[in-house]
Amino acid sequence: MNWFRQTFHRMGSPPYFYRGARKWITGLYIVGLALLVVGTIWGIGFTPADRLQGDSFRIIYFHVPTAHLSQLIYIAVAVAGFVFLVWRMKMADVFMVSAIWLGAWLTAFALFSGIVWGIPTWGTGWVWDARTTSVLVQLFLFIGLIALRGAIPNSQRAALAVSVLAIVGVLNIPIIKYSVDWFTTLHQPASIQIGEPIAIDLAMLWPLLINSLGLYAVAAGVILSHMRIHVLRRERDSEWVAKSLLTK
Amino acid sequence: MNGFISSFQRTARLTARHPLDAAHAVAFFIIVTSLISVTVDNATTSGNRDAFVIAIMWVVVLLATMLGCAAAYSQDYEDGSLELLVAHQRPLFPSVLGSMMGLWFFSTLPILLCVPLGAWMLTLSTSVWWMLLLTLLAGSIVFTLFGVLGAVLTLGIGRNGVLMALLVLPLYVPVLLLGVGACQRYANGETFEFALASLFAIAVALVTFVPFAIAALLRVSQEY
Repeated sequence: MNWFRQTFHRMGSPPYFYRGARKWITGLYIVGLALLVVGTIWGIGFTPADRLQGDSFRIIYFHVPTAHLSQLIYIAVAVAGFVFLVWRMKMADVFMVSAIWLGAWLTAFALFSGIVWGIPTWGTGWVWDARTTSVLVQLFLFIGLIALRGAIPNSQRAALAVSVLAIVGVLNIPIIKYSVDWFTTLHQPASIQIGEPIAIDLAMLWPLLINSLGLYAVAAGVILSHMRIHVLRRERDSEWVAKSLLTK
Repeated sequence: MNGFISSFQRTARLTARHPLDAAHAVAFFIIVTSLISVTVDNATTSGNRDAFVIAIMWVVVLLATMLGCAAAYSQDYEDGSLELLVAHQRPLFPSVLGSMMGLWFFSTLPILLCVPLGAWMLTLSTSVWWMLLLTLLAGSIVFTLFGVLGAVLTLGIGRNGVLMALLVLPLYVPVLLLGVGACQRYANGETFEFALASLFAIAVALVTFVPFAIAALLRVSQEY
């Protein structure tokens, strides 16, 4: 526990983060890309076709990881917002700036892949039901956060405003999560739930898990490298930036 | 002709410097269109004309309420009385709740009083009127809460109208879905109790929590 607290406080310090994150980024990219390549080839080439959906189901290997991760990123942004409101940690704000961009792209990709999947299986790319609508709302929330961040010149105030908006927007997450159970919708119910028997064949499940892990690792790498650049820009007037850039 | 070209180029340069500003209006268009689509969609499956009218009335009341909230606290922010309020009132919660209820009473309630007129203009069946008013009663409170939240978020930024809409409209969607759903189900003769109860439950929960967020933002607006 002591170790965890120490790391937590160290990560809150920009110079420590700037040096420490560098080692992680390369590793995350390598592991993540390797997992993505394995998962994608396995998923597209070596899994059996679905009994009802045929080959079109294979887009699950991109749709589910991006949709899931985008939602996770939204929650992470809200948690970072809470951390920023309570402790005013600079790094929480740096994380939010980096994560909202990636979150917006991932949400857009989840919607796009959902449309591509919907055309052969639902017979329509888009339906206005609870699930699709709430994911679209998540995209709008991310865009709103980006716009708000860009519109307020004072960086401290912008961070605080973004934190509050992110926390209020969390209201949307349970609606996404339970929309397939509560409301009538075309979207299929979740196949993988904690505490429930898994409603998906193991041959189809493994590539999905591998791709999800790979995407997590790549996303973490993207966020960390974006955060490093942002930290440099924020702290450009401080001494450690000049030192660490000049000694190279 | 010189003046035309140089002015056109200047506008192009200004847009290139702040590309997000130009995108705000487009985003507003897309979000409002989505709001209308999601509410009208139920009506296309049932084919009930009343369901269409309910959807349109809800979206129009939503936009009107949001406009009414756009100026909340901006006068106080500019003339400095907000600074006095933040410095003297502790806790801020009752004061925020009070001014929001005042705003709802004097700016949103008049809109609700005009709803029967709108319903008559759109020839909504009179049997649905009371249900439309009941759901809009809860809905308009939530719209006012989030509207004030949006106004406070954009305090001190010029040209904040469209940006505020961009921030607030996504937050409105869950309530819009529930409220329009309850009213449309009632109009179609289906069970509406679950949606109606959820709508009021969300409204009560938000009346409790959103003022805290607004109070926090008001404090923030005085930090430099």
